[in-house]
Amino acid sequence: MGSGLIEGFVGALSFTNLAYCLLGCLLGTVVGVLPGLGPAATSAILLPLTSYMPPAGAIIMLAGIYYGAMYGGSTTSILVNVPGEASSVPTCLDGFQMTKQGRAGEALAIAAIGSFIAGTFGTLALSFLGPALARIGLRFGPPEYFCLVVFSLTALVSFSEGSLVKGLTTGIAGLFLACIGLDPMSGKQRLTFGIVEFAGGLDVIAVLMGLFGVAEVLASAGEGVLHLYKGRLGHLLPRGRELTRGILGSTQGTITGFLLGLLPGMIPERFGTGCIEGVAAPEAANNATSQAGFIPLMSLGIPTSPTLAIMLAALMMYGLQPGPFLFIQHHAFAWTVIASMYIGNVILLILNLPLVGLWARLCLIPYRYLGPVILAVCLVGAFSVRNSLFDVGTCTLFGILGYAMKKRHWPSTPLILGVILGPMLEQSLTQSLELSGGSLTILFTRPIALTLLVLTCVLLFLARKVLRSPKLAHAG
Amino acid sequence: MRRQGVLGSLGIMALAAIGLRDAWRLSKVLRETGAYHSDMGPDLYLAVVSAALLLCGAWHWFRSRGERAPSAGPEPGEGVRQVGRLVLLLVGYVAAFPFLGYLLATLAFFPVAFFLFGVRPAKSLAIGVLVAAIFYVLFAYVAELPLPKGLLDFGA
Repeated sequence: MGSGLIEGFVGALSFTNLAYCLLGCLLGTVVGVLPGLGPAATSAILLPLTSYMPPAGAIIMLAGIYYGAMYGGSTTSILVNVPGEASSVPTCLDGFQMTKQGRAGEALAIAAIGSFIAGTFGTLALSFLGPALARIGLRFGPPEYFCLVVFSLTALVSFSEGSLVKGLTTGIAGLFLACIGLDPMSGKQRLTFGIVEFAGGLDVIAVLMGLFGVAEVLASAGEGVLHLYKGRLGHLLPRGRELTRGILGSTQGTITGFLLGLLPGMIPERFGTGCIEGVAAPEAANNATSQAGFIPLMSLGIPTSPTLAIMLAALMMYGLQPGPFLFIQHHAFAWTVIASMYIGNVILLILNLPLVGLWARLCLIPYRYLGPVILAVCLVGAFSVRNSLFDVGTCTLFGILGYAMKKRHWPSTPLILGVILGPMLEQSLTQSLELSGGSLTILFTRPIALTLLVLTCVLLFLARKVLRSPKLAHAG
Repeated sequence: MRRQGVLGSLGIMALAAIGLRDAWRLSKVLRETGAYHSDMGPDLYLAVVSAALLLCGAWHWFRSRGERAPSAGPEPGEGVRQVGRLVLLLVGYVAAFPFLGYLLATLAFFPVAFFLFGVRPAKSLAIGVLVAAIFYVLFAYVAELPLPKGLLDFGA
């Protein structure tokens, strides 16, 4: 790990990669601040443009957007009581209370410090666990991959908003849409109905742009302009016991967020009263969760969020197959990206502490100027990948579908991951059955595959009994 | 709510039915041509996914039927009408590409889009034309991205 990381730092500290890292962090902070424009939409919009960049630079920038948005999302939560990101909702409760008490500066500072602690911890974990998990991944054959994809899709369905069956339906719909085009094994056309454009399948980028770009704009259309808090920010840095409590809250949030990617560790009796832990913990948890997502992505090729799914698409666009072999075949690339995350966290801490006033003012940009621009960028982006007007139509159609899904509280993340993971699922299942002579028992006789299937069942049970219990739903 | 739920579930079931039909067609083709056919061929996989989708659609249909219908049909709000107008604009914009090309279609799109988002008409026109021109230069000449070419298109 040591030599790899040093090699990574050498690559990440090159002028070009530093510039891409800074650009990604800047863009991420901006999209985190602007409500209605999340990291998934921004990454989807920028993805076609990254095809002109070197692979490491593109992934460094996209990663910067992802974790930068987690930092930026806290600013509007604290100052305006409007979460820039869905994950920043818990921060509003205590963050805005602190603002009303004239302690906005402390809240913003502890959010940045908490994010830094969690982001750095997450990157450290990625440095240690990523290669280790990749080594385990080397033992994976088609049955293990099939079970891993089933587990990942189940996890996404379980944690997505809305009912379990809604998530399951959109996930299966994603698998269905992934069937459109030429079957990779037999070369026969499926669901094409003689339409030439269907033969190449649906372009993932066009679908992503529609679901996360166009749909977001449609959903945000008509929303009013936000009003920024105009009172004093107070001290920028918390002092004494406040700082200690903030750091303890960050540590608690880091561990919780990293392990579960779920709710922050709150102190119930002080919940919503403006306690500093109430800001530190959820912000740390958000960043730990986002950083932890890179571990399965880089070592097994499994995305755990829409933005990571876009990064998977970006890696594939460059001919880099994320998974166990990434650390072997593209050793320098993998470590450069990891090293850039350490640098990115430092950049974000610097960007978020002194420049917080500037970021806060960004949320005053009226959406009426942003909306049309985002729509136009989405359509051009969808066209530019394959020079196809069909993809522009696909993007528009999925934008409308995404909007309808939002209105009816149907999760779109399982849909896109179904589209992305569908081919992997089908291929691994077909290969598994060929290995076993057509018997599904191969999935139950291999230890890793069986473990993953058991974990899938446990997750489904937990999703029904624990994660969706009325008590927890109320807390969330 | 109930009507939307029933329509949504019927849409899902229709999609699943299309999948099942295509799986059956593919199965016939594979049998006739004697092409590669493993235990889980492309036809069976599609059939399994479509069947699962059909089950989900049926479940939603069953649930939607049980939902109470609202006593009086609510009028669609301004937000929904706004989205409807934007969708029409988007569809028109995309449909105009093959005829007008990117530049002309975008010159028409931006002023209307800004207006629909609530910018005053004169300002919409001015900002719209300016943003369209900036976009064209950025995409065509700076990023050198391929842009849709129409019958009336000119430029890059």
